[in-house]
Amino acid sequence: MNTSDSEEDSYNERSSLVQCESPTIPSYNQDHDMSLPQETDTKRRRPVSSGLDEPGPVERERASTPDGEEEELTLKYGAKHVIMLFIPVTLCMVVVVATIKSVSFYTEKTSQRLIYTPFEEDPNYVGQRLLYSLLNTMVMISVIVVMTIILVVLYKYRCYKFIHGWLILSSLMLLFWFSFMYLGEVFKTYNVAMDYPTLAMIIWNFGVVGMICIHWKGPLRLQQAYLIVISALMALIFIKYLPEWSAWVILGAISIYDLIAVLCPKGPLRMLVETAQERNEPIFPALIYSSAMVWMVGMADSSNPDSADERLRNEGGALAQEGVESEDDAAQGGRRRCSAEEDLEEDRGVKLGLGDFIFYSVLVGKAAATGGDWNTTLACFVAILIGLCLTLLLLAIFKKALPALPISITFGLVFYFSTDNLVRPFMDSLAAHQYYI
Amino acid sequence: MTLAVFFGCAFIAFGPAFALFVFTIAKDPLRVIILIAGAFFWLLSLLLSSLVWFIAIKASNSQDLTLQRGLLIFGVFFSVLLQEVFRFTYYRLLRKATEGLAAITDDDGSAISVRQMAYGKLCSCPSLCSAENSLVLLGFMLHSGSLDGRFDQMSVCVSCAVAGLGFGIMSGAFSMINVLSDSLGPGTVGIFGDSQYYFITAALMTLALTLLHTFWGVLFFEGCEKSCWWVIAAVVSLHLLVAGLSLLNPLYEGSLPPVYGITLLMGVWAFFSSGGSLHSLNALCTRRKAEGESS
Repeated sequence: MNTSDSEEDSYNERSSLVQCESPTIPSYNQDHDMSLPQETDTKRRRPVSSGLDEPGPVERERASTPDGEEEELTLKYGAKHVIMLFIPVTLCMVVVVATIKSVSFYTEKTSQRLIYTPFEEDPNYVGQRLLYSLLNTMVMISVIVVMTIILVVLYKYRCYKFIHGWLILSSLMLLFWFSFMYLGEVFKTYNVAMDYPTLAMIIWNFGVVGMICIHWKGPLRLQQAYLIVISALMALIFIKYLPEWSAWVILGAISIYDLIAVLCPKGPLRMLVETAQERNEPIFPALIYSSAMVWMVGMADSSNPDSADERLRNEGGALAQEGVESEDDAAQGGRRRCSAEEDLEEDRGVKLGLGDFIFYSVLVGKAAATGGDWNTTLACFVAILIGLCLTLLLLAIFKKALPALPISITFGLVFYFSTDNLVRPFMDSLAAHQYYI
Repeated sequence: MTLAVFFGCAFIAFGPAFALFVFTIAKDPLRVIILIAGAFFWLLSLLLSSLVWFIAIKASNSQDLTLQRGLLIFGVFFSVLLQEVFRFTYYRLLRKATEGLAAITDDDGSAISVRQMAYGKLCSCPSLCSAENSLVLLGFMLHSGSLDGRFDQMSVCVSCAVAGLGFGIMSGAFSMINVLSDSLGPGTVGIFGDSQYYFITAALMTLALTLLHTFWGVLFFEGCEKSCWWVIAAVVSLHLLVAGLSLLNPLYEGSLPPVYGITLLMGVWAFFSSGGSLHSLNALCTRRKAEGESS
């Protein structure tokens, strides 16, 4: 399946962890419901940055006391928020692995490729295969870089409507077209007879509710579920259409790019985040998975139209990569303003970009697809979770936007290749003789 | 074969571990993190030991079956030793994290909350390198459950049980998961003359090992805390003994009953070592009975 160019534009997300506070937290949180599905275009996804929000608003509100108290509560909630991210990441991976193991469609190799990986890998020639996978990676990364830069430019020149439309189109494509494909393949696998009117109704309802939940308002759990489903669908498309070796090299290259884009002063994501901070706008509301919601009664309406645009914009940009820098002062100010208005205040929770979900799931899904060894899948899963935990720990220390991909993907890749080549023969021999270690 | 065997063996092998997880670990996020970190450390030890075994295999004659078997046995014992080394490493990591916290909270100033002091010290020690910072933060996170801010010995005890369970779950999963997925499909067990009881004995052995790792975790950490080196030596030698007993497979009479005997022994030892007593057991039973009668 070749995605059209519009799909490609839809997103370019990178993942990164964001330091929790963003200047317009109240509206940001409210708009949170509207996260956009990032990947309507499977082909390319803009890097999504994940934001890690510190559990802060509660503490901030009482911040008339010294900062020390805020830090205490922040640390206290740290572990809770790690778990709040573990659960959706695990769910996404479980969905992807379950689909890969049962629906054979996503592991069948076709001659179709994404237009972002134009070189076809020939299994007979190792050198040529390696070269082509490197070239595919370069093409894909350069497309991602270009998309990110376009988004930054659009954001800088306030072309909010354009980005808004782009993201809506992406999510439409993802929620309707790809879920239709997925459902069709599941029915084929289990030999379920389904008529078109029923199917149309199911897909219609699924898609419309998804659009509403993600772009507008909806119950938090439903929105989270839709984001997880969307990430899983995207990851499945990547698993199907990326050639074998290219996929691994792309995973490595994207985590390096994530590192550069978020941490370098001239990195696109960092610039995006800084611009959003200067304008005191929320960053990536849509393409981010958030684990909690804060209802600030007074702030919501007035900032809604603007924030929606801003958000969409932010999301479009690889903002995800950069995440939010520490916006302590602005955030504090915002929170203090809100504290008087808040009636119902909850823990702000943590935010992780959907691109992180997608690439984690791609790694685990590819581990499950190639070989059929469950040990490899389990090892990659544990490695990714530990990487995420370490990244969150670093975030708590450095308190600035951090990329969420590098550590987890590095661990995942190391564990994939070593488990597949070293541990698997060892465990197979042990199991054959029934020796236990 | 198929579903009945799959579910039966899965529940045998992972039932108690899953129950432990649900009832004691799932509610506390820190314990979940310790569990997964324990699994990660076990995985690291397995990785290194398989690397050594793989090199040995590649360097040797692949046609010589006795040699290959000998190398495998060597791999088993080396892996056991490496697991214990990594258990010790994990203990040191947890210890350092909590020690960092304790060092900061050494003063008796009860007027100021511990966390404030800790934060103050963090701020005032710019020379504190980031590694120490991260360990202190980790320590904070580990003991945020004990809200009085004091370094709670009980939570260390629970941490060691959780770490042991992490080791056990990962060890059991790696032994059992491929076997389980094979048991789903069609086939005849032992068609070439091997034992028919492959699946059930695999499940039972996995269960024993999971529980053993949990108990060894408790004992090992207690031994390290109190610097009782003979406890540590006992844990290591018992682990080697259990691995050695598994070498007797498929003579299951020689491997399973002794392993379960050792499991019971370890369970009792761990219970008494972590502060349990017959009195507390008695109190538990009588309280249950009293509650039963009153309801």
